[in-house]
Amino acid sequence: MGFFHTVWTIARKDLVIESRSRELAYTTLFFAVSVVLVFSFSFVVEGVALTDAAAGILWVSIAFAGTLALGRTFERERQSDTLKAVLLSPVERPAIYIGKLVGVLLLMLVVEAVITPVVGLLFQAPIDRAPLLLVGLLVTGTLGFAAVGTLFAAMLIRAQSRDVLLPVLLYPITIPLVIAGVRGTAAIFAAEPNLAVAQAWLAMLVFFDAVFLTLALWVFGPVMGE
Amino acid sequence: MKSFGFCVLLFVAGITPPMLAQQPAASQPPTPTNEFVPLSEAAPREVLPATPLVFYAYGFVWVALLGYVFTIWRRMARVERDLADVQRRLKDGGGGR
Amino acid sequence: MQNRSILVPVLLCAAAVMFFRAPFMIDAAPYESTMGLIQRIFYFHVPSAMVMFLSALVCGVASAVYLAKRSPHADAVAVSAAEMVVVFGLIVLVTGPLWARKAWGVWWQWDARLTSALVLWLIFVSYLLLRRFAGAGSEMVAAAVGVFGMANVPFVYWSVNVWRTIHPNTNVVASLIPEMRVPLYWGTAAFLLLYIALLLTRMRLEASRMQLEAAYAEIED
Repeated sequence: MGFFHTVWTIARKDLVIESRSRELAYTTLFFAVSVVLVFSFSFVVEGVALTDAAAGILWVSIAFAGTLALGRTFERERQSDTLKAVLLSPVERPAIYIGKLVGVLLLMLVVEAVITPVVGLLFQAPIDRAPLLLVGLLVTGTLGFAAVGTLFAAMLIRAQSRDVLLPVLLYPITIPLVIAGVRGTAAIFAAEPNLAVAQAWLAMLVFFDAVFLTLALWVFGPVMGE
Repeated sequence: MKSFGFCVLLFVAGITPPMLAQQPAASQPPTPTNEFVPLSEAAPREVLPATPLVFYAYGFVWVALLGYVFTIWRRMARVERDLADVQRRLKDGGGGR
Repeated sequence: MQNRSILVPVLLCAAAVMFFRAPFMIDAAPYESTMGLIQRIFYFHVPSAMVMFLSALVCGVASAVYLAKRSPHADAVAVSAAEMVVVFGLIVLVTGPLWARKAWGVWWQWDARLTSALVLWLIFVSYLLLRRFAGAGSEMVAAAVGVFGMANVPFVYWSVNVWRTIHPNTNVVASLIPEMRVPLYWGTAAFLLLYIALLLTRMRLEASRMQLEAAYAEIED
């Protein structure tokens, strides 16, 4: 089976399962919106949000919702033992990884498509000021987060305490990603926007994604092997 | 027990010089420094007590390192005890398998 | 793998002697003008930070070797080095704020070096939590975390560094006068010796553990 064919098969399987029950989409979406609201109550004082609060809250919600989505996606695999079956089949390991990654990435992007306008609404954040740049930041940031997260979630599938260990492992490693995302988004949302700074952060995100995606592809095979 | 006493002695010996060191007559403005300038070339200013902080820092280094060595020592003792136990059981039950 | 070599005691004695001599050398060094006495912390804060980063590198490399070859020796090095990162990192993160309190007036500033050290420390604490609580087969997962942790160091540093920093810059060491440079190098050498001695000792513990596991496996036959 060709590389891209494998990727497409695995991703499509996840999408089909998801489209039937829509369990992950609804629950993750609702969770993300709840997180945004909870944070708003903490950071809005007398009707005025703290500066940069919108950017920070957006990215924190993405991180939390992403962790939930990752946990749930692989919990499904674990319950039916399907991952082991896929690993035993004669397909390239990296293709399996990318297939799962595509599924998680799409789910997270759908969630972001909803909560970004919500954040814009609640905090009067100018999400239409530099739409391409904002989308670029969100996509690259989510890609990096999903890349590392998919790897770790897959690795932890057979570990004990995997529910709490996933965020424990994931958050410290994705800190540079969150910093870049928040600072870049804040540079766009600020009263005096600095698009050059946002572009610099975008460049760092691209670099981060390249490095960690490559690392994950290299590591996935040996770690999942028996 | 002996090594513990030696450690305590080293600790005491280690912390005495900083404690006895003189307090300088320099102040602490929160400006970034790019290089070190010896005190003799700076104008005299007033001071806040720094000795306790240095003492705590130095003391903490010792506590952390000795504490870590102690945890290794304890884990080692436990592993060696378990190992001796298992080896004894192997020897006893080794004949009739 | 009973390692009764003389190396560890020798290293420990050498390090102990150096640490004993160090306070006198530090005391003899001249005071720095703006910071005065509190700057003394520099003589063991900086070597600890160097050892911490060195150990993170060692752990990353050992993890990569373990991923490629599954050598138990590489795994022993990786877990020992990770513990070293946490211990020396703790020293950096405690002595740093103590210094900062006096020099800058606040316990913590979100500046590049200290924050990067904190993030790196967190990564390796998560490494140890993983090894402790994930159960069987966690060595491989931990090795991946080790590799990612090491690869993350430049990113963490760069991203945090773009914020304004009041931490002394790197050219500080080059601009030191000899009277200050000598105690610093002495301290660094002492910490390095200590690091190697501790690493070897920790690896000996790991070797004993592997022996124990082999014995358990044998007894179950």
